Amino acid sequence: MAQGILVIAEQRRGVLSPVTQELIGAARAIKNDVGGAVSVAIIARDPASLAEGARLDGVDEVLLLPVTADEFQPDLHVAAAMQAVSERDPSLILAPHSVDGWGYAAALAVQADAGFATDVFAIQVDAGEVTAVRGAYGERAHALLEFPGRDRVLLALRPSAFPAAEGAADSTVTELSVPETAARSRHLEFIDPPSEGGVDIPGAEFILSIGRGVGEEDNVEEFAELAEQMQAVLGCSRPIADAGWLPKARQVGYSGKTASSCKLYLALGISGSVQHLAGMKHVENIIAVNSDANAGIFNVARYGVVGDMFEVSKELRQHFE
Amino acid sequence: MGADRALESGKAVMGGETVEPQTLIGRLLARPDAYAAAGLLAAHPDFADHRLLRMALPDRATGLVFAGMRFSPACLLEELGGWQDSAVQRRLAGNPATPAPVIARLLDNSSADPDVGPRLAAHVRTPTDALPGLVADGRLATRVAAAGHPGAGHGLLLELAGRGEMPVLRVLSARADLSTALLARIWERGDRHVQAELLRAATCPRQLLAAAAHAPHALWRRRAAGHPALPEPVRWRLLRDSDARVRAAVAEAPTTPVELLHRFQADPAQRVRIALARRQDLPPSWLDSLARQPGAWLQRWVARNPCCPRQMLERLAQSAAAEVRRAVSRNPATSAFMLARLAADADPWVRAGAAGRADLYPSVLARLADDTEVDVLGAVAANPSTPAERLAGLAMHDDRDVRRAVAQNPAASAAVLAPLATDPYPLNRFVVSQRDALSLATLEALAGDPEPRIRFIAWKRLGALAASH
Amino acid sequence: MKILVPVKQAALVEDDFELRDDGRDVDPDFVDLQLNEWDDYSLETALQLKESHDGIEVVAVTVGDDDAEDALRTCLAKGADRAIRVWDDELGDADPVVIARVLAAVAQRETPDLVLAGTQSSDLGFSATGVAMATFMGWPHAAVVVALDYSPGAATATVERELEGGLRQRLEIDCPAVLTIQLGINTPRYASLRGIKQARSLPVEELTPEDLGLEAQDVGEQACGARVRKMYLPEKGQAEMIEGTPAQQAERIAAIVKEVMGG
Repeated sequence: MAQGILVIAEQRRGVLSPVTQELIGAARAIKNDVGGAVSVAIIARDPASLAEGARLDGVDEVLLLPVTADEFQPDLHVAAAMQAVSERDPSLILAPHSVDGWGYAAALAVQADAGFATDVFAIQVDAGEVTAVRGAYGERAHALLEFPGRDRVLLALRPSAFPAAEGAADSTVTELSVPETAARSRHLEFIDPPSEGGVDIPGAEFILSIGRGVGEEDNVEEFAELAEQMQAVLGCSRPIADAGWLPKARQVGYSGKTASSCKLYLALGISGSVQHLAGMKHVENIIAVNSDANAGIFNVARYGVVGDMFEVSKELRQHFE
Repeated sequence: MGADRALESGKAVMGGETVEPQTLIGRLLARPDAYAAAGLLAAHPDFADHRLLRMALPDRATGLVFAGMRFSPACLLEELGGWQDSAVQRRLAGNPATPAPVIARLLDNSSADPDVGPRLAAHVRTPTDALPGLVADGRLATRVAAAGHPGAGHGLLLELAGRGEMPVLRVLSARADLSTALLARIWERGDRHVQAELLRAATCPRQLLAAAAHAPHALWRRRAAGHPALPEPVRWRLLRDSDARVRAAVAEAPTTPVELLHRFQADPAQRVRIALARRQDLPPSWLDSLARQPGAWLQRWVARNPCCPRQMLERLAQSAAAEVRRAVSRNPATSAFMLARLAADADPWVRAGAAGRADLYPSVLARLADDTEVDVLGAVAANPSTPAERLAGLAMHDDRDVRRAVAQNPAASAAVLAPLATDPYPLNRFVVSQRDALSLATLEALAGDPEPRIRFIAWKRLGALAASH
Repeated sequence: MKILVPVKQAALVEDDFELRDDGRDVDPDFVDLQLNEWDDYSLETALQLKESHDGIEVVAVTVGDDDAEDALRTCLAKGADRAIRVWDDELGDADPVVIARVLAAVAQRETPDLVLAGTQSSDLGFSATGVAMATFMGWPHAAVVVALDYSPGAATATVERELEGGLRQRLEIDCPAVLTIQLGINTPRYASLRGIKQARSLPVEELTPEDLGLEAQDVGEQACGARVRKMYLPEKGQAEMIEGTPAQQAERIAAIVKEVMGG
């Protein structure tokens, strides 16, 4: 019978991604309840060079799976992972819900005929039965998933949801050979995000965005100044660009730009129309300030402030002089 | 903004033709549409017909939508008030449009649902005498809501303050109608942050303001600095405060006489000089001295200042910083002659600033209409001085934002707006649906729109038109 | 040539919703249905290929009940040539694995030259269906595509995938292939009013899993990767409300900014 946990490590440009440590951390936390060993599969051209980074507390064994590509390639990745699955017969497979994870987890689940859930942020093991929790409908609800009749389950775990494993361990290192597999796509190059001159909403990590609450054109200046003080890129919602108070290049939303690289989005006086949310709701840290407690923006925000954007702005300035 | 206005007013249209109320009802009966029916119900009391009411509420999902919608007609909300459905009742309790009789009914069973109490305590139509009963539910959220209710009685407020709960005290401290007694009680129970807010209250006693000027926290001194009844000696003291944030607060306060601020022109902190540059009562010589100092922000603010003399604007229009030139282009004191030059600026954002000016020379506006930058074209399309034939051309532009700017142009005629009623971009059609100047044919086109909210407005307007005949 | 575009009628849930009586999903009375946002982009990619090359047929397909037909009508209104809807009540609990199996069966019947799917759905966000579909079909696949260079009939396509932090990966992929399309690859069109009107009278082909040669055990609950045991509301609302006076609120915001941006 299947037993143990198989963690599929992620690497890019010869470095293990931080999510790998989180997968190991998640595996370690439930190891005793699941039963069996924790193995970490490293799939790379030279997996041995990455082994040390996976020999972490809770890991019994690091599996080296050499493949013929430097960077992630789904066919090779799945073939290698399947090799590890067939040799170790794990009852639980943990993969990252990362961009590369989206590129292979479903394929592996189908091939391994495993129960399957993605974007999982909590795992429970009750009398050997694994259940998983994920969000639904833009995190408005949580869903508890079960895997009836499955003796193997693949969970793709949400990055930053599980504490990273720490502390080196004396894990064994085993090399497995991966059956020859045709790679039906070929990596050509990485393209680093362009650092465009001028206004760059898609490339900005920190955006301070203003909406209708700003009231009139001359008030915009105050927030442009605040954005500069806070070292944020100034953005806006559609009505502000429509009024001609800020250029279209600063408009975030469906008919504007998407805050693709944004880590922190400070929305001031933005009600949160569907139009605007389309460009920013994915941002992990959204702080919304709005005088209307029922504003839609609070449904996507991580932090909410019901209050006057001018007062908050004045006070905020005090901290960034 | 605009949307809310149109939804509320349901303005009628012009044009020779008329529509009859019975014809409209008949059309809907033949082809039922909940949103169109709601539009008619919102148009005029004449339409309060049980068949339309039934049509507007075909199922629970639609009822839930209308229960939470701020523009739902009162008769629909009253109908919904009779539904024994807790989700509908929660939405009604939180909907500012919910009429008083429905609020009264909700108050009768407010104990049934714990989420209804706080919403009712915040509702403007909840009568003053009902608040003490709601507060008795023991929930902090209800007490916070009641503390902010504009109609809350003095006795209740005093009692709420006496409980010493910080979230309640913070809401109380922001009320505009604080009595001396209430202020004293909040001061007594509040922490230093709540007390700082009280320093802004009109009823704040002078001795508290005087004491605040010596307070160790800059926050207290900043709050006191803006008080209209600040005793003179205290103001003098704050003018010389060692903390730039406090001096900036003094400079920002409209109640500080400008004569006292002379020395701030040379204040070491840029923050203080900017606060000064934003004042609209500065003598030109002060603005001049501020504009000559380094720092683009200072110049931006001077260039925005409507009391900036023309000569100085001329000089700022030569600035190397595009944002300063942009600020000049938006200053109402900037002449059409200067705008002509800014309209040829290398930076599109400066040209866009000029293109939005209604006082631009027609020849300059015509040239800008051939610009290729979307910000410039958008400003031309929104400019009420742009001639109708130009607008008609821009209404067909490939860029949907340019087309929408035409739809928003207050001078756009019914003929210019007509083709935008079939714009593929729903938002543009929505903007059109709110415009006063629409032909009956345009309204009829909007009445068949795929978007429910557009049909709602169109039918509301058709209904208002029919009822006015 | 033919491009198959699998789409989903996605559910937008309102703010104060209730759960269904069995507790396993949201009460449909609180749901607004709309073509999945990602599918706007995959369809647009297909339509742009169709417009720049002769002889391309775009076929939209969905797995869904009667309510899902609107999503297909939206695709037809925008310019898709045909639409197929697959449904049977036994698909009521279908998860991405089962949906992908059904879509793969449709692909087997339609024999497209390219499949363009959305990277994920706006309601449940599995990010799995397209890749699972490719696996059932045995086709190459690439996920999260933000640029596509492809000439109909070519043996390969060049695509760019959007990785974490704005990094992109350019790669070459053998065709036919399944690509999952990411937001931002293009600017999706809106259907013209005329298109919407015409689409109302166009046929939507309706199929059952049985028509596609699938057995009950291929699509029933036992074939799913997972089953929702229950749904529930997160313990605290998603937003953590920052209480206090404006000064206190600003202080907290400043602290969050410094923590996240590290400065």
